[in-house]
Amino acid sequence: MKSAKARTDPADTWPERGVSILNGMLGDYLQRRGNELAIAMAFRHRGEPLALTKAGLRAAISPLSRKLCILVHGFCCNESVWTFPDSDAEGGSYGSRLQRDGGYTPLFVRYNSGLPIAESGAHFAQLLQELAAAYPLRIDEITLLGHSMGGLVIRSACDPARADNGSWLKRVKRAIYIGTPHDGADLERFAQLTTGTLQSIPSHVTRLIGDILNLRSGGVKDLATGQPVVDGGPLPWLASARHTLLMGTLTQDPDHPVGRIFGDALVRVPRAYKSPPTESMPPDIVVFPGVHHLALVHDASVYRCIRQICADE
Amino acid sequence: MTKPTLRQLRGLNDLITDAVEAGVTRTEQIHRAIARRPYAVLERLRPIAAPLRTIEYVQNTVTGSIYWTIRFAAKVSGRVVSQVLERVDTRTR
Repeated sequence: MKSAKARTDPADTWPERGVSILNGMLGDYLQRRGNELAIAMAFRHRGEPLALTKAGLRAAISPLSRKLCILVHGFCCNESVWTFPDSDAEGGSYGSRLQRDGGYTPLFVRYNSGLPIAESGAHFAQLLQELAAAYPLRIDEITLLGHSMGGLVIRSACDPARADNGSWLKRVKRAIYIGTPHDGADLERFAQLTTGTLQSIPSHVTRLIGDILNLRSGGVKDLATGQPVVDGGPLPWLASARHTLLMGTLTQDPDHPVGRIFGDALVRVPRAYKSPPTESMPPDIVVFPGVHHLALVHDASVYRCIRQICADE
Repeated sequence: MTKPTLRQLRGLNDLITDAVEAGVTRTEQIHRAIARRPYAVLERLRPIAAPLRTIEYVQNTVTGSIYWTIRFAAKVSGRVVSQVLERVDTRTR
C-alpha cells in the first residue's frame, strides 16, 4: 500500500518516472524530434514548473530565505529521488531538512538527463541566472547538491569562463557532489567497448544489436569520461566554493576489494585529487561504507554530513 | 485526464510511431542483405543468372511493399491517435 506521502508527491508516479527514464535513455533524440516527452529544465514545485518571477516564487515558496540550496538529480531520475523512503520516520528530503535545520530555501531541478552534460550545464547556468534575477530577496549564499550526473551538471555550469555566468556564481559557497562520477563510470565505458566490438563484427545480427545499444543518449555516453573538459584538460573546481564528494561503497569496509572495484555499484571512490596548477581547491572526499548509489540520495548519515558541511563557515 | 498526461500520451504516440518506422526499416535492410546471399551464389551460374535477377526483383518488390504497408499503417495509426488526443485536448480546455 502506498503511503500518503508518496501519493502527494506528483513527481513520484509511474508516468513521471517513466518519462524521466525515457529522457535519460533517449533525451537528445526526443529534443531533436520536438517530442512532447522531452523535459525542459526547470525548478519544480509539487511536480509543476516554478514560474521564475518574484510573484511566482513568493506564491509557491514560503518562507523565502537568503540562503538557497539547489538539488540536481541524477541520470534517469526526477526530483522525487531525493525523498526519504516511507520507512524513515522523519521523512522529507535533504532539501526540506536543510530548510528545517539550516534555514535554507530548497529548490529542486528537473531536467532532461539524456542531453550532453555540457548542454545541461549551460541550461543550468542560464536557469540560475534567471533565478538570481527574479528572486525576491538578496541571495547571500547558494549551496549546490548534485547526485550522480547532477554533480557533473553543476560542475559544468560553474565554469567561470561561461559568458552567461552572472551574479549567481559569486554566491555559490558550497558544491556537494553525491556519488558523482568525476572520473567517469566503468559501466558506460564497458557499454562503449561492447558497442564498438559488436559493430566491428561483420554480421548483420551483431551490428544490429550494436546499433540498438548505441541508441543511448549523449548524456549517458558523457558518463564515460565524467568531468567536463576545457582546453584538453579537466574543468578546474570553482575556486570560490568549497567542494565535497560524498561517495558510497557496497561493502562495510571501504578497502575491501569488492568495495574498491565496484564502489557504490555504479561509481568508484576516487583517489584523492591532486592540487591542480590553478588556484582552485581539490574536493574533500567522504566515504559512506555500505551505502549504495541510489541510497546515497536519501540516507540519514549522508544528511548529517551535509548538515555539518553547511554549518561550517 | 490532465494536460500533462495528454502531452505525455502525444509524445509517447510520436515515439512509438518513430520506433516502428525505424525498426521496420532496419529489419527490411537486414532482410534484404540476408536474402541477397543465395542470389549472389546462384547468379554465378550464367544460364540461370537472367531469370534469377527477375525472381530477385519480384521478391524484393513483394517484401518491400509489405514493409511499406507496415510503415504506412503505423503512420496512419499514429496520425489517428494524434487526432483523437487533439480532440480530447480541445474538449478538456
